[in-house]
Amino acid sequence: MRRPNFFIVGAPRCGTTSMYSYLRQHPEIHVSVHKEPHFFGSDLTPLPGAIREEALYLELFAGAGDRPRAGESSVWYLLSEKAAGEIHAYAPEARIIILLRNPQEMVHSLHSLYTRTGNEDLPGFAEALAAEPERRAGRRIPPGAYFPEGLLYTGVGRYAAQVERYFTAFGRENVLCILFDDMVRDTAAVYRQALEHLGVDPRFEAELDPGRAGERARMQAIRQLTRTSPEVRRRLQFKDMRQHEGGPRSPLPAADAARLRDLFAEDVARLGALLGRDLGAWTRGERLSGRREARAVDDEALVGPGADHAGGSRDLDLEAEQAALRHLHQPDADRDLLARPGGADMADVDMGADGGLPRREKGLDGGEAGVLDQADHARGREDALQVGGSHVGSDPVDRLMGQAAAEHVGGHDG
Amino acid sequence: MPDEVLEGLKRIVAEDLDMNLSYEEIDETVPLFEGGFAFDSVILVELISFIEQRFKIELREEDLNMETFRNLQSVARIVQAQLAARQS
Repeated sequence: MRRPNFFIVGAPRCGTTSMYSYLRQHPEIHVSVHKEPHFFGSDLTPLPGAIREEALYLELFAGAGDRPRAGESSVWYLLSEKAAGEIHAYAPEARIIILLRNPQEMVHSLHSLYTRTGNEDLPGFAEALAAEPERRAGRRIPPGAYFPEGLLYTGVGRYAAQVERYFTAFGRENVLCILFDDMVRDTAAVYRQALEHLGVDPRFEAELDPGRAGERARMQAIRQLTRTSPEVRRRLQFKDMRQHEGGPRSPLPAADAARLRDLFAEDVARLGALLGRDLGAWTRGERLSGRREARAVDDEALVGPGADHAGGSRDLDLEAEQAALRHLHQPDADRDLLARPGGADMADVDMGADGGLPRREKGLDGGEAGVLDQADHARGREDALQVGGSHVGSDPVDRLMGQAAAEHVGGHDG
Repeated sequence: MPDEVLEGLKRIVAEDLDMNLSYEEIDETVPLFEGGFAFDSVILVELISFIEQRFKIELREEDLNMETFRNLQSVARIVQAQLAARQS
């Protein structure tokens, strides 16, 4: 049976889902229909929906044919202390891709997600950070938590040691680290870099608009699923998905942001040294590219509205623009969420640059659907999806691919 | 043949898919997704599998798009085209 030979290993909330949907389009690349099987990482709590049986895991790559690359994208492999070694033992020639984002933004996004999925029961981010010492000792874990490791936010955001493990296991030349800021600034260049890293034709032009890329990916996934055994479909809990509702993400108070910057400063400097990049901008609360004048795509769209999987149901992280995907949705659970008050579906949400309020919706017909009243939310494309009854991407396939707005168990973010 | 294909598709929806729809309730012009039968991707995966089994065809990648699955009429056109191509 064919083994995978590339892995996107994290980090959560850093654009892994978008990169996965871009790679999926390449004719020389096969990706698992289940974005995040979490087969490796034996030191972590098994996620709902994880595939730990080798026969089932390998079935995810059975359709690779003669394509030179086959891979998957389980975002908690990066945090795991064992996954790097386990992957290397299983696929020593594998290429690794790591996506990283300013840890301050990432952990805040992760907390927001978890409050919607049930992994987190402390609605305030500062409160959740304060609870970390107790949680590390096994206390104050929410009864509904499905992945307690994810609640240790500051540990998740300290990337340096995590990245180092992959450098050590695979060699620096086999590990590509992509910075989210670079991906936002020039998605096409970063995509080419990823293709070169995987040794496939870098001239291939993929659809890089997150929405259209997602639509393509969805039909490919549906095709893959028709060729997947009923047992695998059952294990993917394909039919058993639950919709989570969530409110808008609160902005991070300035004092908390400053505290986080301080908290991560040393690790950011260490990471910068590892990568040979000056990441000082992150410590100053800025993007690496400075003020974004023109972005290839919306940054939050790259991460997705509710990416991480959550307890009890499976969800995937659908980028906001993955509009057309709403044609397929769960009949009962999602209809009310998907329907826009005006009766049309939301095709896009224009968040503008950071703090660029108000945001506007566009209908599928291209017409403006109105301003989203979310004045307290400085940067939440992901959250805008929840406003006014609008909701995107709650179809099971989206969830399976890591692209649904709703949270689900077993997937974790994008 | 066109009627046979359409009838076969209706039989799949009524008898094979877990949709709680009777044969008589199925109108080939009703949208399969929003505003119609409210299929989701789980149902679509099953529909494709049953179509391929029943008609012994393999839907082409380029036919797997939302236009094909707008309603049973549009699905029938694709199936008929594939059956015709096989016979020629």
